[in-house]
Amino acid sequence: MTTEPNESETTPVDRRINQWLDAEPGDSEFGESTPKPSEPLDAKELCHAADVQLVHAMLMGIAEDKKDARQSRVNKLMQSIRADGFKQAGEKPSSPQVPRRYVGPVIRWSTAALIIISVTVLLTSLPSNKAMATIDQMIAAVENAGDRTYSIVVRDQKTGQRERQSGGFNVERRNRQERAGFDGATVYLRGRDRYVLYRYTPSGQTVINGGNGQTNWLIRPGRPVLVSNDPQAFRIPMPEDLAGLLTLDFGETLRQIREQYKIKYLGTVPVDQDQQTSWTYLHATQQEHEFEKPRVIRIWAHPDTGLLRRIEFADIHLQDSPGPKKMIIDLRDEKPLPKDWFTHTAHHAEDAEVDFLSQQ
Amino acid sequence: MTIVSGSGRMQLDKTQNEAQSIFEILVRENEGMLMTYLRAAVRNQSVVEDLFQETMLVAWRRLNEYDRSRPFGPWVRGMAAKLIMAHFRKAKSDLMIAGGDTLEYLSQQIEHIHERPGDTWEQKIAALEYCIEALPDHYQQTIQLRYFKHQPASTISEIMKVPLEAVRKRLQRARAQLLDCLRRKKVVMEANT
Repeated sequence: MTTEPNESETTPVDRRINQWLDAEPGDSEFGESTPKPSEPLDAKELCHAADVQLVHAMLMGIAEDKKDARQSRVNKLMQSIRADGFKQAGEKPSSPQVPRRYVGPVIRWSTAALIIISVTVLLTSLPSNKAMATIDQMIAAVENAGDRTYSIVVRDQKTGQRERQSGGFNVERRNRQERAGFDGATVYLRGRDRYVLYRYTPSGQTVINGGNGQTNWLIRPGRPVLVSNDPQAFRIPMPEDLAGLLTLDFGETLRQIREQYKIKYLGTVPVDQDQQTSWTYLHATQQEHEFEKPRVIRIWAHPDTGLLRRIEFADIHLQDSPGPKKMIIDLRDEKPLPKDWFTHTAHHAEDAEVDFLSQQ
Repeated sequence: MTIVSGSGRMQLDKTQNEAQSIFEILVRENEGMLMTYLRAAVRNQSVVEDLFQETMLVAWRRLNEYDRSRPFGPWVRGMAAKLIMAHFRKAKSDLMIAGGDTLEYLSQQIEHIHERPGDTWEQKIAALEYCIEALPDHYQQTIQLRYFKHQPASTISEIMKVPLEAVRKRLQRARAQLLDCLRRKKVVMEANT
């Protein structure tokens, strides 16, 4: 056995802190940590004690990050809040689930045993990294997905104002043509390579991009329809912060997020009006702070199928629009679309002029 | 209704269900912060868990009283402080070593951390992991056993084959070195005394 030198350097306040932080139930000093009135601590000692206690608390916090306790803590709270809400609405007579501070040892030990068993079962049955497993499931789900309709909303991050309403909605005129923005856009998807994107100019004109996996096309107001079998043709001008990250192939987008972001699984939550389903919630933050990309991405997915329900890109910047913005892409519908929906002819008049730009 | 959180504003729609959903996200974003505050103030971990539940439940019930022009963290810590003091009146053995007066000081330290760069609480205190790695090996091992393996000092004494008092001494010094390291990295403010 070795001994720790310089025992004499322990000050009275340090001894008290040690007792408070490290004494165990049953130790003689466990219940004696309250400062006695005859031994008041001065301001410096008080601050020192508080700082050490803060370090202790931070250590406990980062140690817990390796466990699943945070998830169950939030779930328990939300159950209480939902029960509380029902009670307030008069729909459920039982009392709100305010936690009882003091429960008997039998109940406490039984609960602890149950939690240990549950956590053990969870740890042995779930993938080691739930966040990664969820992203992988979502990527696989895109490959086999049916028809989906998503809406796109862009809001000012501070005021919450819609980008179209702010007047900053890409009003720059380029070649005398208004530019269509993303706020208010709708995107229709089938599988991973068929898409139709409806965007609108500030004056309400419609710009449509589409592709059926073989040809890409572009429909603009008052101009010929452009069609090309060049896979790079009519690329959608994504905001600079999302370039290389967001494409209409959401599988590829998720792949990029998987590679470039640190992803945390934060359990299941409802999304807005859809209170019937609890969606898996992922929180992605930049692994390396590349400021041209969104710092935070929030992702909601179906817990069973992995279907992307919503994705939010925070802190993005749009050309000609000041301040950080949040782009939200939200699943609106899964109804089957018309069979020819991903061909240009489904979106313009029969007699519209069509220019084929390239042929193989 | 708009709520200001540490990482930005969020929209709270009118319906209660939507509000619950948004509040849940707010809870997740502030969980690490609030738990740190409670753990720094209260020794008994089951009481810490109860106080977390109770604080957030009170915050939910009083959401209409919340001044949306101000950050969420100090508001919720203010409610937590009242609940902590109420608990101390009943259970004096849980009273923090520095006494109830220090809650405000702790809250300021927590707010200082909350304002650091980073999107999550873990990112804001990421320097702590660096500080642990920088500890001498025997201190690092003691901290690992105490916090990450959840061993009491008596068990650590057996594992490391050192007297119990020496274990406590090591824990004390390790925490002091971590505090110095966190101050150097500006995670924790120097006290103005």
